[in-house]
Amino acid sequence: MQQAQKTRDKVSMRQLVMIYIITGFSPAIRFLPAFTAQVAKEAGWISPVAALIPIGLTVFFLHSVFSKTKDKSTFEVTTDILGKYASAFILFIHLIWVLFLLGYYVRLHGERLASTLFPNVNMTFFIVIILAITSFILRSGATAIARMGEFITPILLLLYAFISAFLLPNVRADALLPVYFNDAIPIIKASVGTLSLFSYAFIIFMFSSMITSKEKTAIIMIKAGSVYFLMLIILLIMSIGLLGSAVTARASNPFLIIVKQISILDTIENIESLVIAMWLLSDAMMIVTLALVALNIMKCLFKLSDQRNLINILFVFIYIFSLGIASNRFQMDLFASSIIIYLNTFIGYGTPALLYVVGKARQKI
Amino acid sequence: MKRFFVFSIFLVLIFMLTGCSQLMRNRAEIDRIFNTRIVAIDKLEENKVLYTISTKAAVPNTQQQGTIQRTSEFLVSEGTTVFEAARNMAQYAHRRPHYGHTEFIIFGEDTAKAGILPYLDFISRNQEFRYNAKIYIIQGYSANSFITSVSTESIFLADRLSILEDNSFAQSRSGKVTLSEALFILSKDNVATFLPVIIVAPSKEGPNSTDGAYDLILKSYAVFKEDKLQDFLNEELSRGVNWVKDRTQSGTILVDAPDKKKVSLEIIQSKTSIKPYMDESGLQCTIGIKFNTNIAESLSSEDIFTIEVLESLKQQQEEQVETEVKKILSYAQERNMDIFGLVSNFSMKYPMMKNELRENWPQLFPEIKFNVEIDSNINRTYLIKDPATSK
Repeated sequence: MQQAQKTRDKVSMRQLVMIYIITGFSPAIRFLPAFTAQVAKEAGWISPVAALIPIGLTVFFLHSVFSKTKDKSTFEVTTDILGKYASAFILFIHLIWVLFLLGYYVRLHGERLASTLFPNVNMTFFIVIILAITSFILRSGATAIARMGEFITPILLLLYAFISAFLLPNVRADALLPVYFNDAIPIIKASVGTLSLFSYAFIIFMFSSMITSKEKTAIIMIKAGSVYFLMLIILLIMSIGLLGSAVTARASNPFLIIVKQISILDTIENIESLVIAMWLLSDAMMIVTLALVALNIMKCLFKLSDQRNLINILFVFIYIFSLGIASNRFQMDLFASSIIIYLNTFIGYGTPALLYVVGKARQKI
Repeated sequence: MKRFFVFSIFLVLIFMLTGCSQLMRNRAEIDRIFNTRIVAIDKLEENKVLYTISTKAAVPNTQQQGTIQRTSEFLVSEGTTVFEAARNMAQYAHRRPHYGHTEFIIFGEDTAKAGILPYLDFISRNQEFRYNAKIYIIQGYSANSFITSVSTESIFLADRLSILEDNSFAQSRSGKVTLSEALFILSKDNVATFLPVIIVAPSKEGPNSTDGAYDLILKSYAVFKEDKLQDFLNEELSRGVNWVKDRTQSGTILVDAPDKKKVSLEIIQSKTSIKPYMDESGLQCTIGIKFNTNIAESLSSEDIFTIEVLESLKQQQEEQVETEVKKILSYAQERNMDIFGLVSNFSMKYPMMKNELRENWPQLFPEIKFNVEIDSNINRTYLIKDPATSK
């Protein structure tokens, strides 16, 4: 039983970062261009650069914490470093946070489809479908999901490169420039958006209790982080460079607007279905990943032998929570820009820093 | 067994969901969709909006059994806002309007004078529209009367506009401006927008023309201060805009041979560079234009391919372009309308001062000293060298 469970949970670091790239795609296209354009205007595209130092530090912390813990799960590592009660407290905070994010992302999935494609369709319809599909996927276990991620990532990156190749040549320089030292403060403020997107780096380690090749944490995370970082910069250049910062800041989904403009030799158009496929995949992976993390934390906190029995209960809870989290899209957007990004940044960067500092102080790492 | 059960449920769902018309209220069969290609908006009195959409429909041919014929179709409705007008249309429309294929957004002259931004809000917000739809202003007409009077059975208006747009390169006196570009410029403070103008003229083919009594001419640009139409540029000024904005693709320049007979030059390539700078005397800007032409026609019987004559032709074409550019620059400065978005050029050159430049641009723009530098070359001619009139 124990052996079977381990086989179902075995995931490599490489697979983990691939899942990270897929899950990060959907929130990036939804939130980042509008947020950075609002805060830093035409200089918004350069804001991810300002986030590099905290991101680099977090990778260093994560590498220091996990690289020498070959056979230990994330929960065992945190217990080793922080002690039993502090570790349980940290895990509990993460559980609340992840459940909250789950409800938020499920609701956003429905909201986005209703505001961009099917305005007259009841959003609950999309929520029920995505929850049904993701709960079905979840039962197959972390290993199967990680393999699915390994298969989807190259397709997603290829589609993104294809779309970028058609959009980048039309970018207007006067929409992206000038950027000068007097933009430094707005750029730093806008970098919170990028920081928020990179903040799930720690919780991805709770995706499975059996992560292999952790000794290569730094190098693998740097490689994947570079790909994701490049994706973000290109996304911002395309959105702000084609629509201008004022229109991008006002748009609820600037990336979809610019993709709808693609016309290949005046013959091939309407390729936004590609983007929709990409974001649906990304949404599904995000929900599956967060649900798996939540189940793993619950398994650890409540000492369960198998967390699969909790899937149905969890999804009923998420369904109710996602409908009650806000009464409309405007509240969701306000919620994201005023609470979620700061909470993400605080928890996502605070935990690795705390583990590193305490681990060093107690000579556990 | 379990897998088979789950698979069966999905299979059944796939077939059953196709009939979920209650759930997917926006869904319609393709033959019940009105695929809009032109949207026309007019402001009526008492703040009402007249909303017209047009498409090309295929209807059964009454004269030839079993065949179909293409015809122009319109839907017109009225409302207090564009959205209300669009929804009022549904009360009588025989098909559901869909805007995903809208290519042209048209405003009449009066509406453009009152301001187009309130009407662009619905279009830019609606999830079906594409931002690469093109915007046109109709001189002397309302958008509705333009669509209804110009469309004929044999030629559909959107097709005619499409052809005009494709051919606009020939004289570079107008061009296309997409919704995306228009929104980008309209969102900038102190930058004036220009949009292409179409005029309706009696058909040159005469009253026996089968395609109706009107010709459409993609004539020039209309200039806007904020979102309100200020003026229609003449053709020379419009080409000046294209020179400065580096939008010139081709065109003709007529120059004189030594015997005063006309020589037609065809613009082949052009490149404009804008170099802003600042000194004690204030803001200055050098507009450099490099272009090449070919000799497309010569009415002269003399040999025009001598170095002296070619040099004279080159000088004449440069003078003409310089005149066009200087005229549009002084036109813009006299009216204090930065049609060229020069505030961005100066901001890029002097990024430290971008806020001051943007705030004080209405005072700074009319005072800019322009220096126009033209450099051209006559490359070649085509199949024959000597003029047809030579002996």
